[in-house]
Amino acid sequence: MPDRIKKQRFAALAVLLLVLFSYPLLSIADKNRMLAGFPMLYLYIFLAWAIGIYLLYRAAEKDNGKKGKEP
Amino acid sequence: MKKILVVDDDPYILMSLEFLMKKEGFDVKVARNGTEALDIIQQETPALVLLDIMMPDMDGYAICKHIKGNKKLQHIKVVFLSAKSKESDIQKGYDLGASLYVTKPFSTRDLMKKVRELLAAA
Amino acid sequence: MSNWIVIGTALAYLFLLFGIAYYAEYRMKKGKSLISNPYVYALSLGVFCTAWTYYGSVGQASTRGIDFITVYIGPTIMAALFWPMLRKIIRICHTQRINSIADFISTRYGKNFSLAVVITILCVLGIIPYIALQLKAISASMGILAKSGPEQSGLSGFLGDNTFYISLALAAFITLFGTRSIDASEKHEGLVAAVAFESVVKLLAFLAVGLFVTYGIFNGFGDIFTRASADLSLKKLFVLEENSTYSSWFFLCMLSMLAIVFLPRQFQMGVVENTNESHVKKAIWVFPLYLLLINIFVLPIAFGGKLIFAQTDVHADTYVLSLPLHYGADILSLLTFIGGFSAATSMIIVETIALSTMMSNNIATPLLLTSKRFRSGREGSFSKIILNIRRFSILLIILLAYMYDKMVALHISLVSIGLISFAAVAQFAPALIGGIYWKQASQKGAMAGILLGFVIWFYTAIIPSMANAGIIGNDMLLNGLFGQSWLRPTALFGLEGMDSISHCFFWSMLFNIGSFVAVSINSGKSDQERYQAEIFVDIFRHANSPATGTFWKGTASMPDLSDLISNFLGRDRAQKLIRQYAQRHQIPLDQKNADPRMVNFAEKVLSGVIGSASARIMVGTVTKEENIRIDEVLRILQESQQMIELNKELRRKSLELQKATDELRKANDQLRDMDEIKDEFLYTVTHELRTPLTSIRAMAEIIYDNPEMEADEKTRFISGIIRETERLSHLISQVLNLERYESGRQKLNSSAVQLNTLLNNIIDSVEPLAMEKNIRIIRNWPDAMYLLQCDAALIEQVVYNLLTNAIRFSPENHGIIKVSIRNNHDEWEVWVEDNGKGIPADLHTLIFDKFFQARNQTLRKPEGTGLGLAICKKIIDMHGGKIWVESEEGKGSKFIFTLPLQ
Repeated sequence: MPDRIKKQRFAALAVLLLVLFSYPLLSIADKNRMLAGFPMLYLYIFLAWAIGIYLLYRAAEKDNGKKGKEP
Repeated sequence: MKKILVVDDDPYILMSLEFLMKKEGFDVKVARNGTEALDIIQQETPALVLLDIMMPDMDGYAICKHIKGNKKLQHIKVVFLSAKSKESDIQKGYDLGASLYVTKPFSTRDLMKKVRELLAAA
Repeated sequence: MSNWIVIGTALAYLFLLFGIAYYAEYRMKKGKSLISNPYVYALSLGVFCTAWTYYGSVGQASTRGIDFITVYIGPTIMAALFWPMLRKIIRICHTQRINSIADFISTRYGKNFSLAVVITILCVLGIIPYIALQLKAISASMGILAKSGPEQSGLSGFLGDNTFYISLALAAFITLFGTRSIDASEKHEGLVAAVAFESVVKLLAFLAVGLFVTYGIFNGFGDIFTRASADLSLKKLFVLEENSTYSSWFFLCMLSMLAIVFLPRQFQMGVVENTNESHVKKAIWVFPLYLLLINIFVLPIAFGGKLIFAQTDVHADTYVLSLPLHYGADILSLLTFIGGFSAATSMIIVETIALSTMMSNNIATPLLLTSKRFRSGREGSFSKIILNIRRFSILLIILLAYMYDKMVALHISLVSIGLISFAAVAQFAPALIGGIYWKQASQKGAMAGILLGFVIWFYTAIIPSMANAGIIGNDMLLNGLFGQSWLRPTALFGLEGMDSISHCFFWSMLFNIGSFVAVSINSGKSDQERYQAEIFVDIFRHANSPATGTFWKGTASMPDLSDLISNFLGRDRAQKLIRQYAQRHQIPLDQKNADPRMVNFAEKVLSGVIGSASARIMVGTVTKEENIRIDEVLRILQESQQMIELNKELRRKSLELQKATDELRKANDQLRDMDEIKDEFLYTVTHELRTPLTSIRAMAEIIYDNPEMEADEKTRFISGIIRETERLSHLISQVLNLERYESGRQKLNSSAVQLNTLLNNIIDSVEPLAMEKNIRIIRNWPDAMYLLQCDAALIEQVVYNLLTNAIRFSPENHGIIKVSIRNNHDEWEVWVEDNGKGIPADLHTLIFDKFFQARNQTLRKPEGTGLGLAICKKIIDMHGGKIWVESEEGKGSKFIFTLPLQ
């Protein structure tokens, strides 16, 4: 059932996003350093955010597509 | 003197039947297997053949068929002696042209009586 | 910049909004709706970004770094759940004609009136301050522009008059485009178009200002950050940990995740105004993208402002405007101002509509209905009254907000009020989310949860903010309620170290969810509640069933019903709706008694106007019988579901039955086969026995009938009898043995055995037989240990059988039998070779078969082997070994068997 798969995909995506923006991963980027001219944390957050949006786009618009994290 | 051929691979049955036929006054020939039997039939042309069915090289049915299929031999009376007692076996025997089908174990007295009758009728 | 220019621009912009709204409605009348567009839908969600986003984020970023972004990350995460959850909510809304969040929750829990009231009050209390803050932002930003000049400080003097007129203009706008139709569940085309437009304006404006600051004032992102890192106080802001905590980050994300759905304006735009479920697909990624874009330049502006205005007391909240002004970019400043104006007005518009709908449906109208009994009134009388109530609510809300702004909001930051509002609406989450997924959720539970959550929210969020604003004393804050330190509003039960919003969120959610669940499990539910639970939770299954809605039994006269609807919608509209519905569902309209579905429909239509709780009451007044048999309907609904399930079960069971029958047939066939096999076996065995019996009988008869027989002949016959008797009994015991092995009754009596010793013994025992035929037996194994575990007696039997066969088949006088032992990894191999006449290839497996003679076989097995080989095979099998023969006709035979060493 494609609907069920879609639901699962989104649930997984929600979890992924939660993890990306939670303490463990966040604290790794949370250092007082610069990367490519940006403070590391800022760069991480915006990049992860952009990637997350892209994944949301894929999950929503592509009916047969994969979430992008598959091998 | 009428010639009788006894075919059976069991030596004791052979021995017994040989004794019986001799006592009756027949000229008895014995064969232990199908090959021997055919040879003797060819050479001696007996009047009657006591034929066992289960034999190592060729079964009795085949020998009977050979006899009845040969113009020169088809007059030979065939008596099947066999432990195969199923209806189908017996029927097959008669279909092939046997004069009599006797199941083992048999009564020697009955057998002799029947043999006598068959040969008397010749 | 002159005041007039500022006001003029603002009013011109409002004028533009009016125009867009009119145009959108015009398009809809023409059938080419502007707002039935997924991008418009996604943009309309942008109403989430208010003056807080526009001004407040920069302010927060400049003092705390990046943690302002949680408010936008949360919605992004939630966007992933839009597809399952939001869609469900939208579907329920459209089927049930729900027009507000209070309506939704109250409908779910049995169209409960008190729930609707409580939620409305909570919304009003939580959102009016938030609206007020938008007004404050408008007046502040106008003030900055009007008194522009770098030597001025941020917050200028009192310009309340301007704001007052703006407020009135907004009220007029909302009234015009929000209360055109009595049916509040109708879409507000103009409104949505205007809001979407405003989303675009604020995004573009902010991007413009951002570009200006980043590339105009500075030399790009790198430049700003590098210069910021030179200042230690700014550098500190790069790291989250130095300014905030991860737990706060987490809780704020959670809070925003809920806010994106439960804020009245979000519910309005995202659910009520949604025209097509499939639009959600676009929103899932377009909306987060919007949030990302509008936040890109927040940090650069914040740091830029900090750097430029380092020595001044320009308030960080105003950097967005102050920076372009400082550099004399007047046009840009005006544009920026419009952007902020957009942000604020869009919020005000939508929240006011949402709140006023709730207030009029759940408070004003019911009050009205109870105080006067309107059985039948003039046509359309109700509709006018209801509409006016709505308009009045709009005005009331705006005025309340204005007053709040003037009196209270002075000292409280945009951000904290916003978060407090978030926490307020979060209290609806358990009841709503629980309501759509958990049938057991009950009205009492929802009420308990929301009330308790409300109380805790008030105590841990409102009280501290009032204390901080100086409205009430600090006493409770420091010492707790009644002087109990564990009841301190910011450290309840001793939980310290959290910022006040996280603290509030945590405790309120804990008590809310806890009591919601506990009370739901332990409370009874009315029939109506159960019915609604069924519909809500299983909406995707029931959506097309006509039974969704209260099922009215009993008689409602059609004229009465028609009058009722006309009272609220006007006769023309009422007639049209009734006719359309009747046509679609093929209901005859000429009958006196209204078809139950029609009554149902009437209730739905009315709930769009006056809320579902009131609608139910109203329809109840025209039906002669109460809807007592609601449980019957529930049962019907459940039964039809059960029917479908049963059907499925039936099909499944019949398939199983089919399978079972097939298997039974197979088993039967097998049994028949086995029967046949048994018969065959008996036949074969008795067949074998008949041969010796025949000779015994013949010989005995001969002896009996021929007393004159010669002595030596007699001896021959008698010994023949004896031999055949032995043969007979040997055969019988073979059969019995084989039966025993086959039935498994024979148990292996394993012991340690020396294979060579065993072989020697058996060979010794058969040697005499071999000697008789002058056959030589060779023992072929080197002297060694040949230890194995086996049943010695049985293996002896195997060897004995093989040897006797070999002797039987070996030629006399020059027969040679060779017995050898070989080792093959983990097993012993024993070879018994003879140079007899060999066995033809096609018989190699058959000779081990006990049925060799069955099934029309007319060739006797190689003489005398009887069941011996079958027995050997059985014994070897029982030991886990293998036995086979290698032989060619005329070239002797080699019998080989293996035994595992184990």
